[in-house]
Amino acid sequence: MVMTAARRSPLVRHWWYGMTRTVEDLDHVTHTCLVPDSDDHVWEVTAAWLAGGLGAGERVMYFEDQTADALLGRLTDDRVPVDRALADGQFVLVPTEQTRATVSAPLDLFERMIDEMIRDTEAAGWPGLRLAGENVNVQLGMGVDAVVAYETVVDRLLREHPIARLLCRFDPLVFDTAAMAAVREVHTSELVTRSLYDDGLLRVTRTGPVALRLAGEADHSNRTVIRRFLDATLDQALRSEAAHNDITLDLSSLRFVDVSGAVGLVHTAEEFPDSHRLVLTGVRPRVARALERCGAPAARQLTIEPRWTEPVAPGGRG
Amino acid sequence: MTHVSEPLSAPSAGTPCAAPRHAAAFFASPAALVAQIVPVVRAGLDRGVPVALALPPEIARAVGAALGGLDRVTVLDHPDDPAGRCGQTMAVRLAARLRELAGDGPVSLVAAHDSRFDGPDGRFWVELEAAFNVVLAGTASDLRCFYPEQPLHRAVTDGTLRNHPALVLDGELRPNPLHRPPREVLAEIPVPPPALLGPPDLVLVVESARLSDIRGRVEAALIGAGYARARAEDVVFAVNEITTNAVHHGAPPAELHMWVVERACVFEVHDRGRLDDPLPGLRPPVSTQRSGWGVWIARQTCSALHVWSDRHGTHVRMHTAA
Repeated sequence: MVMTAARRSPLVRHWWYGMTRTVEDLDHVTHTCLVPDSDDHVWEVTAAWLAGGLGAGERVMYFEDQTADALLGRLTDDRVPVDRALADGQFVLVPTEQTRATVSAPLDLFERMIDEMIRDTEAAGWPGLRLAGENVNVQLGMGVDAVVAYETVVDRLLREHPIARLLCRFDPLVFDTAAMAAVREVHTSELVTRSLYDDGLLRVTRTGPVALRLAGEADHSNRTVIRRFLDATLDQALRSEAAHNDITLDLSSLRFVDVSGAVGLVHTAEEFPDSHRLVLTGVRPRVARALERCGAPAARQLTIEPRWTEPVAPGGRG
Repeated sequence: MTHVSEPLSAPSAGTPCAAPRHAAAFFASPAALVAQIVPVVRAGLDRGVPVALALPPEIARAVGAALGGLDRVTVLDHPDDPAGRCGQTMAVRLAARLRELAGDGPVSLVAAHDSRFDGPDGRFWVELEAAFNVVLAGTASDLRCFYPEQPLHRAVTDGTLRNHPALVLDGELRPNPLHRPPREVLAEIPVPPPALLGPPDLVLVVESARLSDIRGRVEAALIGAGYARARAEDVVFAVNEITTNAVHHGAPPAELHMWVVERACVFEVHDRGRLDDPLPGLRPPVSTQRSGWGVWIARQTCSALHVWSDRHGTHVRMHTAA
């Protein structure tokens, strides 16, 4: 099974012999790093990474540090079914205290623990082990050299055990240029995902020829952004030879919209040509109430698809 | 910077507008008041229009006795709570009730002064009547307002003479040459500040880059105060609009104050800007309107929303029940 999120095809740069290669599939990377633009970028990529593992039947482990809610929230937004995987042990959420104890263990002990984890996974018959988590903040307290040392150990273990893969994240606000270069050196690839816009509060990504996705909060600080991208998308639809009559805006991960943003969506739809509609999908109740108060019920060319109540069924696609 | 929360196309306190048939009459005593109200009510009923009464309870009872009951009229209450003590909130509420009663058709409202709501200086009534002229502009409402000949506070009479396009004098309805648009009235007799609440439980500096953080802090405080999730989200939505206005239209520094009281939270937003429209957001926006939605929507979410200004700037108090 291939989950929708994993099919979003982020770009991956491989650092082999000084060359950069781009591939279209997360499943091909082993020890990869991400330099995120925002928290929503973090969860977008982490959820896609883990969803890919779940879809491939691999064991998936996430080392949380009071971040499980954010991750599970994004997986829910992406309609990734996790309940059964959590119940049967395919998806392991390592609790905060255990995460901190693991990643701050002395290097030799850390190596034994990771090695044992991988060997246990192999022995249990899982076809793969996909890892992600919150390690850097703890290890950073020991210095950048320590981060590099831990990452070097992990990189060697991953090469020895090809079934295991790890996604690491390095915040550009925490790592300066030299530190970032040092940690990039110990990863075989870097994940580069494209966004149309990301100001740390609102993230806009393209999910199809005439489809956009919003994540975060739309307010006074970014009030013109959504309109700008919707206008460009409509323009693209009108110029396209394919008949795209619906412009889709996925609001699954939009946690807040203010009056100006909600009124803007309603007016944008109303100003579409008669042949086109603006379709809002995955709308959270909070955002739906805002839209309702701002004239959405009377907007003829606006369709609001209510948020689903269930994730996509196993074997289905989101 | 000035606050311009209403578009030019929408009637507001800042623009001259067609007043409803809005007349004031004066009474010398409670008995004389009842004697004047009864024929006005009968006339409305004879015309076949819905009649609503907004009267002190003892006057309503006396009118009922004179009419043989109040079953043919609608008695509107005047709650003794933050909404009842806020003239602009009461005007919006009463207008909504009149729309429920009559839709866009004619309706008759008979109202009388009630000294319990005078506040410290009687300006409540000035604010209420000015707000009426905004919310009922262009409607088929017929308002008859009764005021004492000698109220305790001079502002009551001054406001009555400026807010009503017509006066009943010597039993005859006459044009009132002293009538002024709401903006002029409120420039002369400003909207009163609400009663002081004491030191706030939370004070946050309001800046554009902090709006998200403020929303998070407010939502956490509301949940902590026992608000249900959806109600807390709606209150955050309202508070965000007022803080956004302070950033977008007002002048810095701006602050948000919050008080947690029994089963409710009170917010105030203060900035140094000048209020262009003294009573923003009283009327529902038209669907094509691009701006001017925020204060109206905040008014629908809050149990009372009071906007006032003074030499320090512009202030908004929001009462939100849990």
